[in-house]
Amino acid sequence: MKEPCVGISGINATDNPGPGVAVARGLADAVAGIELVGLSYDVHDPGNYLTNLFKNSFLMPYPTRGWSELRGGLDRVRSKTGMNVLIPCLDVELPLLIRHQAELARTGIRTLLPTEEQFELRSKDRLAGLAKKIGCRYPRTVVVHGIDELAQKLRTDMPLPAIVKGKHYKAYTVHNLDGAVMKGTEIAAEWGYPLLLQEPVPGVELNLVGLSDSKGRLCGRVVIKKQLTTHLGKVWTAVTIHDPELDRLSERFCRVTKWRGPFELECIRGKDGLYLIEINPRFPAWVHFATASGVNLPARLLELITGGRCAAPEEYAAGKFCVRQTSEFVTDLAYFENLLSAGNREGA
Amino acid sequence: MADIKHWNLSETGMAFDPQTGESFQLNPVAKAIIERLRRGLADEQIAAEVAKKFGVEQERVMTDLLVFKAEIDIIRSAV
Repeated sequence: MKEPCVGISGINATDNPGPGVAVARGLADAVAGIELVGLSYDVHDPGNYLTNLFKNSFLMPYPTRGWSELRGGLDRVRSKTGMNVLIPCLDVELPLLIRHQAELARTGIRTLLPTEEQFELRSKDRLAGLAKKIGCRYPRTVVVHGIDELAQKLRTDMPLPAIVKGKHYKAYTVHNLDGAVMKGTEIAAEWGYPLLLQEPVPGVELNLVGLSDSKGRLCGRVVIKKQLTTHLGKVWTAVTIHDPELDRLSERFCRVTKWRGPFELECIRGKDGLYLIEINPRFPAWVHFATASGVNLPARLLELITGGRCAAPEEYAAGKFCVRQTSEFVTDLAYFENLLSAGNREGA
Repeated sequence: MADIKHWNLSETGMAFDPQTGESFQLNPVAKAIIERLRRGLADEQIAAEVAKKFGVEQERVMTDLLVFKAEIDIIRSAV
């Protein structure tokens, strides 16, 4: 294969960051001079302006506009940059890209994405079944398909406080029926049904970022304990730890599902053991913490995509401390104008 | 008792449990006790060495040591 030119989405490095910039940093650390291209859905995404990381950045049509438009956008990027690898970093893109990954490969854009079946296995309304298969506790959860049903379940089946979750995004802890109805309505208006009602599990929140080679082998992982989070629950400070039980869970997850590509296990260590809370089908935004701790999973992913195999898993030290920071940089307004007028930063 | 053998212990007295991510700031006496517990010394020997190091009575150190070990277990079980 030619030298990789990697398209990376999720470059919204904001207060609720996508993983794209962290993925790019990992690749830039591993491969000197690698060509990276930013794929953005908003002219204001900070990644658009990181000229040290991305040789160019393109505004893409929203995935909600369908495959034809998204493919047109990707074709445009490919023809202008030679993009031949794609690492999507946003949940909302994945269903379309997964469905059409063979077509992408035919056009010369290589990926490593889960299958549709794998993607669905870890959806929130099916996660209880997967948790059972891989031998992990899962909080008691009820799926509801309307607000009346939500209220009814809270009266009869699910004690308060409870967590109201959307199938795709958002989760709120609610302490009374009125709050549950309000938050449930809010999530459903944005993301639709079903909603989930889940029993809260008191304990320590642990996260594992991993990479699976599609044959059931874990290619690397790092476990962190979140120490300080934003109001959205995003990492602000965290520490690496060694958790053998969570390591084994990730190995079983890869073995059982033959997962393809990156993933994140979100867990809680409760009084009676480890609970699986969520599985994200992509790198998390904190993936550069793993890279800086010695486990460069974006680089391993690129090896898998381009060569079909990756090096043996790297170990890391427990006790590495990650601190997120806010910072500003000043750039040229021409980039903003180019993005708006030509659809890409360089205006080419 | 908690598995303190795997704790990372810094020169300044910061103890970090790599399995839970919990960290503790130890005072000098606690640090001296932990160091000796990690070396597998018997309680009596720890009490004798720490008493000598800090110039206090061995019986008092022994009492503190037993309380300290119980507290470590409480901390561990609460994590």
